[in-house]
Amino acid sequence: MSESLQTIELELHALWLQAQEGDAACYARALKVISGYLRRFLNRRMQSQPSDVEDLVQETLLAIHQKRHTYQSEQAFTAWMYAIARYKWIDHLRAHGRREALHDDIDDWSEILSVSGDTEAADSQRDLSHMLTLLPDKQRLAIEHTKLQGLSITETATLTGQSEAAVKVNVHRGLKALATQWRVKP
Amino acid sequence: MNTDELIALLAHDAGPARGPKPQQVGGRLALALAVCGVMVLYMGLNPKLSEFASTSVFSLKMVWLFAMVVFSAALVYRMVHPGRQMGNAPWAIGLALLAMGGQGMSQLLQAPLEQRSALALGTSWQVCTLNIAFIALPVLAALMWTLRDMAPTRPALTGAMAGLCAGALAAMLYSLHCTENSFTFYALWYSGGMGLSALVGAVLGARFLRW
Repeated sequence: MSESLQTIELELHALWLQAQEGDAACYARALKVISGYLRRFLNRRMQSQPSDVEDLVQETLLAIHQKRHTYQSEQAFTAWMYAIARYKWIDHLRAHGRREALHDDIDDWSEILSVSGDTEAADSQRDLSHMLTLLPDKQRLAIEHTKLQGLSITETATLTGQSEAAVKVNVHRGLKALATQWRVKP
Repeated sequence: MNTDELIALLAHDAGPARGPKPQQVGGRLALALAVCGVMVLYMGLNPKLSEFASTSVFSLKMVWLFAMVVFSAALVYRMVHPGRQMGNAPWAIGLALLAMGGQGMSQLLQAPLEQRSALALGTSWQVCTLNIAFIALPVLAALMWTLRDMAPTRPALTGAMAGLCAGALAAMLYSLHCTENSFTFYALWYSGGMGLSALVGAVLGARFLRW
């Protein structure tokens, strides 16, 4: 059986609020936990398109990241998170025909079947390096250095000749541009 | 791309979230309302406005429209925050519309037959609805612009409610021009104007409020 919603809520609410203070490690941990719940949520609802699940997990993660200012701290975090996941799922159904909605009623037993491998991060069909080539140089470099080569913000700043603030801004803008491209199929 | 990669990428962008700034939102709305004001001035103010504004018909209409603005704005606010329930706002909107509808109906039924068409149609029924929907456009644009930064999980419905809110605001401004003084007229054509604006909002919302 899945954990009760209250347990998930207790775990995530505190973690999320702590992550919003700006602690990157904590934020990564929060997103990791969230991605597990998203995968479970979507696996259950997308039996016939398992290859799309990870795409949608990633798209939902991006949406959660970009729309995080719409979360109000007195609100249940799980309500917010699942509302976004649900929106992304329905949006996906609209784009790919509605047949999948018919499968939702076998939810209960399909959940038991799909528990294994639920929390395992997997690859989506999105090609990051291809999407990166479409970004302006400054943003691409900022993301490539911080992420792909694992450099710190300070190191990236020295290497690219941008200020630290500029690196942060470029990572931020680059991610925003990536999120837009996400919706265009690879 | 692996999901863990994406998470590492996003973690670099940790920190407090940036929503639309209140000053920015306020600025856009003020600009839109100024444009609406110019539109109403272009149509011309009611020459007997100061007299008319002190009548109870006028105040009741304004209270009604203001209530529509508040209720629809409250609903939009909830709808752009995922996981929020819509609460009582839809009921409040329905009741407000019903109240004016009931008032208009009873006024119509109590009037002698020969006056009924004047109560319902006034002198401006052909233009009222369109004028209100037209004046609502700048406000609707300002609202949509802001809502795009939020997260409406029902884009079309959210757009419709934003349209209703813009329509009610536009109707308040249009009241400075309009000389009609029957509840029957308001119930028909003012509601029509707000409804038309809501329809425009729904179409725009389905198109522009997806994220």
